[in-house]
Amino acid sequence: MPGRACNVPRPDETDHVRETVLTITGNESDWLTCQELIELVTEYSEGAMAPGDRFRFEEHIAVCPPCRAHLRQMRETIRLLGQLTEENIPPRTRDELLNAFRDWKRA
Amino acid sequence: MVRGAIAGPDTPSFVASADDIRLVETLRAGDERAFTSLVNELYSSLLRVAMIYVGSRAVAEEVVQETWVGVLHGIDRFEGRSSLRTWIFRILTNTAKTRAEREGRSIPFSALAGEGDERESAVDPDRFLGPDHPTWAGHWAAYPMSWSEVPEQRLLSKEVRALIEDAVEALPARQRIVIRLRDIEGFSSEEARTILGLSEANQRVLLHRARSKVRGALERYLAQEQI
Repeated sequence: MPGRACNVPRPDETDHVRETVLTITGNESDWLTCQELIELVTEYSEGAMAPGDRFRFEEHIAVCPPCRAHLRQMRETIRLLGQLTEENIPPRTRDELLNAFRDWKRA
Repeated sequence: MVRGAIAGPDTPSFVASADDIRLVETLRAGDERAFTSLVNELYSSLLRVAMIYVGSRAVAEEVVQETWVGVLHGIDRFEGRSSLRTWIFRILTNTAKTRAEREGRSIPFSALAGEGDERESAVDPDRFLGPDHPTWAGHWAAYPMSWSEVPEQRLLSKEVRALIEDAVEALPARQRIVIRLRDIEGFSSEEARTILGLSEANQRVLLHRARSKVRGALERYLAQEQI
């Protein structure tokens, strides 16, 4: 059986986890490649995965540091997107809208 | 203040919250402060979304104004079947589409060009070992680096913000609008789908591509910096 830990010499503990996972799950064809996994990140984070696929995703992440790093980068990207500053309304537009509101109120 | 109802397992997030209902009543009663505060809060998001439909900023500003007029005229008919925010954005997208049609710029959202079903990789395929690799096909060849060493003040700097803004602006229109609603404005998946009339799977693919590209831009930038 080929090693499974994404082409890197792993710390022993990672190898151990990987072996355990493979012992439990057995089937090699169930294994996601890293390239497949990164296309499933949003499906995973949106909670849109079938339980079996979710398990395969998580078992890969558990033993693959580079995919974990990728996942963290995606989360960080989302966090930073949420920090973008908003544009303030130009005072003139605000005044015009307030006038529209007053007109509406009177009508 | 104007939040969609919290999406719990049993409560669809597109139903107006108690806060929404109260706010609508305040507006109907003619409370100027409530109106101004809502207008301020949503201005930036409305403008950005409008710009995707109509192209020019000047026209988008008019669309936002028209939207508010539409909101005022329709507020008595607001029934709370969606969140107030979703309802307002639906008025915006309808107004923007009508305006775009009038200006001969009409592109139905579902048919915006350049982002059909063609395959797109979230990460450059060259970063992975090729299919001919005996044991590691499809596994990382060039690793993603950790950003945990990058200081927070660097990540939140003007420069990085501008980089993210540019990466978002460079996205194809549908990806841009989805990432804007979801990740910048913080709409739920359901809200965004209701506003844009997208299927769940469709929205997810667009969001995935958009996020992946912004991540890629950040990665390239931060890698350059670390050298």
